[in-house]
Amino acid sequence: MSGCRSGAELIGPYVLNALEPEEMDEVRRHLAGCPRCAAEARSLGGLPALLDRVDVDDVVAVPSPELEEQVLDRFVRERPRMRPQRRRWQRLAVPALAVAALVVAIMVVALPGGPDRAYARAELWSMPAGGGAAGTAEVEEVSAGTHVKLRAEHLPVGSGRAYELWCVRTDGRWVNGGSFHARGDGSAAAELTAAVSPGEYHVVVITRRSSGGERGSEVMRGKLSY
Amino acid sequence: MASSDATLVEKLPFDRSGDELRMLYRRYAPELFGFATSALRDRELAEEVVQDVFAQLWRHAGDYDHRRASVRTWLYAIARNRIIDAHRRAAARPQRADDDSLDTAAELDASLEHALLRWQVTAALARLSPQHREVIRLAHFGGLTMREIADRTGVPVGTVKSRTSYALRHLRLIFDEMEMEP
Repeated sequence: MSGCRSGAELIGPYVLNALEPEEMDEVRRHLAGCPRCAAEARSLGGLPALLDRVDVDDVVAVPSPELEEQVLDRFVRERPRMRPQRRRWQRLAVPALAVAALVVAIMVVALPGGPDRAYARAELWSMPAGGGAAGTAEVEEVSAGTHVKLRAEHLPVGSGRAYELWCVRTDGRWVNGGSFHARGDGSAAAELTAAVSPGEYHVVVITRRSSGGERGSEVMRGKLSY
Repeated sequence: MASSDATLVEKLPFDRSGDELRMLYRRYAPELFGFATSALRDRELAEEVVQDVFAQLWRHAGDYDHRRASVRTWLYAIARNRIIDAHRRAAARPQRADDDSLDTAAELDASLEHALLRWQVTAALARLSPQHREVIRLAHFGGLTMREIADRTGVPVGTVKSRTSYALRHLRLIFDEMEMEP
């Protein structure tokens, strides 16, 4: 898994049609013979159409700080009127369902091979601080969350070998999956567990180890394919 | 470990402190507000929409079924209905000569899709570093080549090229995080 450093840095400019004509031709020829770069070009190819949807000066609107308190105030005012009431059938159904769930759980554990597990895999790409690193992450669901089997090469080790794994949830929150050390040659193999279910996220990020409460710089990223 | 969205919604009917609601608000209010502002072009109306969305959330938390939709999808569906209501209220008022109210349901639908996409792309660009945003701005919106950007900014052309590739790759991953398919 060596990646393709020479072609990779031209794909972004190629997708934006921002290379000189002879360079565009050169990239086209390269893509015809390099499946990895061709996949990268396909992955980025839809971005210009999305960028066309906005004006360059559009800014992200942020709600006023007072809105949060207004929402909470309204909640506090309405709360006494909306106490949950449990119906009679629900009072009977809850213990019955608990017994049924226990029976099912015992049956599943007792069956050969145990419960089904979700699997996913991510190809990890180098970020600016990654210096051309590349890797893979294989994900397996376990009772504590996600077990991640990580393999990496070409990690920059000049300024420290400690790295951290993160799972980025769909709401943008980052869940730490633990730290690992690269070998002297920049390779790494680690098995880590993150307290988040595989279905709750689909982006894996490797960063330098956090320091002073600050997350380290991003080294690699990748999207999980389930 | 932070609670999942579905767990927070399940706890809402029993939420005495408002903590669950506050957590859901902090996760989703900014993006719902962005969507509503993009659709309504009015901050005040957008804040009303966000208030209504969360009021609906706690009133109907007991009806939420995580097998049918994620909390995010559910909240966007409520927001969408509230925005449509706001458009209808505006349409019921006497129209000014310069009023560009939307006439048909299809137009309104298309307008909401456009507003959502526009907000998502704007929010994604805002999450890029200033350097990455700048190369995209100059190359895509400004129509400059890598060499022209290098000349204009004084940054070596090789750096401009790799920066552009990293910027697009990062943007793509942000869209992945937002569950958007270019």
